[in-house]
Amino acid sequence: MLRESPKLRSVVAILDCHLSREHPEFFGNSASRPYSPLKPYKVVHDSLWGTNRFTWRELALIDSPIIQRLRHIHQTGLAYYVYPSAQHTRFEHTLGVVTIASRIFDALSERYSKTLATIINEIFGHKEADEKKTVSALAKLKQELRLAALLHDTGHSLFSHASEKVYSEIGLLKRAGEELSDLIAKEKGVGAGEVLSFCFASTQAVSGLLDRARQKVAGEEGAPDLHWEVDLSNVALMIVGSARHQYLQFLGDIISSGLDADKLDYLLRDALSTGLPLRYDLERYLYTVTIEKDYMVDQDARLKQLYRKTKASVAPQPRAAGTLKLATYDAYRLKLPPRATNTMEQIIISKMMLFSYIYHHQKVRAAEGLLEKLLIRLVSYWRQEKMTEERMLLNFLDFTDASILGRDFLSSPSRDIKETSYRLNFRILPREVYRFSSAVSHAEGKLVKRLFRRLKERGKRVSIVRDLDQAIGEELLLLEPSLGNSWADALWKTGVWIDAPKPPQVEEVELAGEFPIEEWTEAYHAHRYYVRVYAYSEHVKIAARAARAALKRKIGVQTDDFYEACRRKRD
Amino acid sequence: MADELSLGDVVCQLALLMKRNNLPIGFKDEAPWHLLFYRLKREAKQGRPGFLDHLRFDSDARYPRCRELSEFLHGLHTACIVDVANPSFEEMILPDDVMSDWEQERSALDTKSKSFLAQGLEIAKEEFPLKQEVNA
Repeated sequence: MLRESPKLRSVVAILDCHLSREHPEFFGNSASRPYSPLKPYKVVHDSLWGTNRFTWRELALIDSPIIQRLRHIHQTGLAYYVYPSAQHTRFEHTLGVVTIASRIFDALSERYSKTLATIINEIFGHKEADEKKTVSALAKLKQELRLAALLHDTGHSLFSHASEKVYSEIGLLKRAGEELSDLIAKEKGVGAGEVLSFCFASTQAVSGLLDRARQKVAGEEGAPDLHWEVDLSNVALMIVGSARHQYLQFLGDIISSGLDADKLDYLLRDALSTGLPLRYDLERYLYTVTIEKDYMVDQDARLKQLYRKTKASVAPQPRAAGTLKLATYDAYRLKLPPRATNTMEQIIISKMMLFSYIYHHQKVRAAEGLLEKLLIRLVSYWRQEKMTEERMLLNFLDFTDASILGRDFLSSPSRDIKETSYRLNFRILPREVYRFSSAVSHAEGKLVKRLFRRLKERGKRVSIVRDLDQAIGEELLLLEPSLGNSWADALWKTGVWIDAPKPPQVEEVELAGEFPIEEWTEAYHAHRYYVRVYAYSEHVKIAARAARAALKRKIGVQTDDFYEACRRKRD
Repeated sequence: MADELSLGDVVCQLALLMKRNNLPIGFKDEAPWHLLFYRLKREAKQGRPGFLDHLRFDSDARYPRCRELSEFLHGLHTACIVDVANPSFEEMILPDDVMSDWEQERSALDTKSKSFLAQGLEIAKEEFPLKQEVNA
């Protein structure tokens, strides 16, 4: 499948080489693990979803370093600095996603057995209905779905999404991401973490481990599912919301879409772990979720190329899209019908509340912003030391949250890195100096709205923030020349930055017409979404003066009472 | 300069032109917006801004769908810059102060940019269904 994707192949090869070097017992040429005979299945108890079974294939992966490292990465990054009980990790979330994906699959199998039989006959080329073959094919698809859920977060580095923004700038990974977007014909779902998870699922290391697991389980009495092999290319595609065949698109939707198992797990798990009383009705979701025949447009024949690579024998059909006639592929998709409106409302409100209470909490943003600055500085230090991009990528994959205490951070030879790591490690976090919202009734509100409009544009957000940062840095130097030789020095020393997080998106849920999603999101954005200015506590006063002067210059709002209203004060 | 027009600038200026030409500015059904930009990417030549070359469209919906465009359209509403007709969300409504702001920006555009936007308006006339078609 990756024959025409050299950068993706290169990342896969790097991962294979790294895994075999670092974990030879699991992934080397003479790998011996899994060492003991595998049980056909084991049960694991989860605080959220109760007792769940995991198959021998899953156990082999769970007991390997690829999944075990997720035990050491907090699911909600540095949110535990605000919510002390938010200690849950990517590991338990991963097992939770396997469980929920499986339950969705079971709910569909129970209610849409005929549709699934049609899909299976089409894909596996069964000439006539054969219940035994259908059951076996269903078990294989379910196993592939569960493996995709198991591997979907393997690309995470320290503190989850808080570090992703930084390693996504590594050129090699960026180019691999572009290839992956081209391969699956969509931009969605291909953040740097997903690119790496996709690559992990494509490694020889994973396929080799599963082969050895089969040999270890073969002798076990009653071991199930030995007569077929999983298609790891399908597993990899599901991780990024796609599938090897158009009719299997609903499986990709279960792993990565607006209704996916990932969201169903993290919403409840994050709420439970932080102590927030948010709920949605999973049983209602499972009772109402459907598979529907739909179609996907194929612009630039990219789907055609994908299905050629996966050897799916399918043909496009021309259909009208507006005034154009475009090639399309029939596909089975995961959908929620109008009677699931209440459940979708609960899911969307929960998501908005979690952003407001946890992910965009001012102290969580302060901690994660500080981590981001620290990692940017670390990468720049590595570049000075002439480190290769490959090594940088592997460093990020070796990092877990505990790395912050180690030689790259708290014991770094770089004083800047060491000092900032100390701050982060002991929660000496920057403070909020100003907080701006787009819901302003001020006479000069038009200017603020203009800024927010520009920030809503993905292509402009980074340059606007950089421009504002620079302006504040220049003002800092004017006020206090001893802060350094450049505006960047002044910002670093005072811990000042503009924080404009990416707003939460409500994914393309077709129920949108049935209830006012927009009203919910509008209320959130207007009253809970903020652009902030941060500074270290000891520099708050000078930062407030500098930011006010810079924003007067850049946004154009001149009246002091506006800034007073937006100023965050402790007294 | 035409090459300085961004995705957001083009959306805002086209919305303004559509309003001036009594075209409905669709909101709930995003398809016409995506098809408009898809066609601009393929067809526009004169004054073509640079961002069009980097605009990506996904192949997992019934029409070529650009996430960046979708994010911005929703952003316009959620940042309280434009209104939408409640409770159906069919159309985008441009408040007077916003229109005058965008009008001001329009007057500063060069000829090439204006010509590009004129091409966009012609496509919009084809892709955005008129009200009676929506109701039919």
